[in-house]
Amino acid sequence: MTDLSLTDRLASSPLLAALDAESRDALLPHFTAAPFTQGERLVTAGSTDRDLMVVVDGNVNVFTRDGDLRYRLATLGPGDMIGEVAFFDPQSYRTADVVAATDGVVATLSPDAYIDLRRRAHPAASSLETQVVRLLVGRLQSADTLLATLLDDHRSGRLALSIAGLFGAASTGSTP
Amino acid sequence: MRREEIARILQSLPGLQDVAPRLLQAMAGHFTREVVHGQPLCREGDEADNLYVLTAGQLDVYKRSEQGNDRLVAHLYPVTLVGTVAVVTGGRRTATVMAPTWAELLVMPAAAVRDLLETWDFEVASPLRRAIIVATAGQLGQANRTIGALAVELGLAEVAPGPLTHDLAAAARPAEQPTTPADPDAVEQALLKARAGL
Repeated sequence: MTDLSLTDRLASSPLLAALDAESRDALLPHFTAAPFTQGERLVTAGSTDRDLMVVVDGNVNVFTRDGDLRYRLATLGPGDMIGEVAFFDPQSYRTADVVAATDGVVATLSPDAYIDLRRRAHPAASSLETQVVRLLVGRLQSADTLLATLLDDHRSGRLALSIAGLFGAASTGSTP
Repeated sequence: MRREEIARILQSLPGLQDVAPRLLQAMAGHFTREVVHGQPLCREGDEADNLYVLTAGQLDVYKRSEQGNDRLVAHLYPVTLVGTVAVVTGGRRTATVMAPTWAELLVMPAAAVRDLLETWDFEVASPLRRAIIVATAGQLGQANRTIGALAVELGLAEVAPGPLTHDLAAAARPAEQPTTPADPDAVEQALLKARAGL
């Protein structure tokens, strides 16, 4: 990455900011920045690509699938991480569609770079793993609390209002 | 349970498949086997004492809602890591986990897990962290899919463009779809069972 501001923004993401300087300096050169345009699909559910991605600029929508239907589960912005499961587990598939909500930039890390660091027992590999664990446990706590609250609302008949209030209606615009 | 059998079970966990057999054997030495029946494994707010591997049976995960009610948010099936959050963070249990009937578990003390992650050979610590990542992400995905299913039920979903390369959803669909159940318990059970297969 040659754009200093993009590098600074990536370095300040929750994934990398918490790392020690040696680990961050070892990982940053392996990220590749690429622009995306509104409506572009970054990730397809069921695919086997394995890059780890960090949104550097702009926003993307994450859709979960239910058969032939999908629902917009979240909107991610600068600093947010995508694709950690496939990155660390070569047996898995992508489990969600990720579509650009705006124009922006995403930085990608190939698993090959991480595997090379791991083979050399470089501290950056373990630092990356540890930070991903921390980020995921935080997200799991939030998701479980939200789900419990929504199930409360389901019983009380307030679910539609709650989901609409949290996420809004699913996008009905053209999507790739 | 013999150490070799425990090592074989550990090797089946995503993230641990490439660990050398001798290291799996060493890790296996830290686990004991337990069977629980109709009792809580841990309660939300408790101190984290153990990391578990569910090897048989089923576990139910309950989370306290903002209104203070304990709601069933996930079913766990073998073979999977259980109780990773509090063990990794050193904090208190973030959910209540119950064995609705019976479950067989491998149990490793939390202190031993943290020691392994911080001081053991990188060859073991790295795969264990990856196994924790995959297990935690799997539970996160299950929660997200259930939230999405609630939205689909409400008619908020859109048609997904294009077929799936791998039909992730097919494995998750229950054999018989419930017919507009009025009972919230039945709805929740159907949704959770449909999503637990992934």
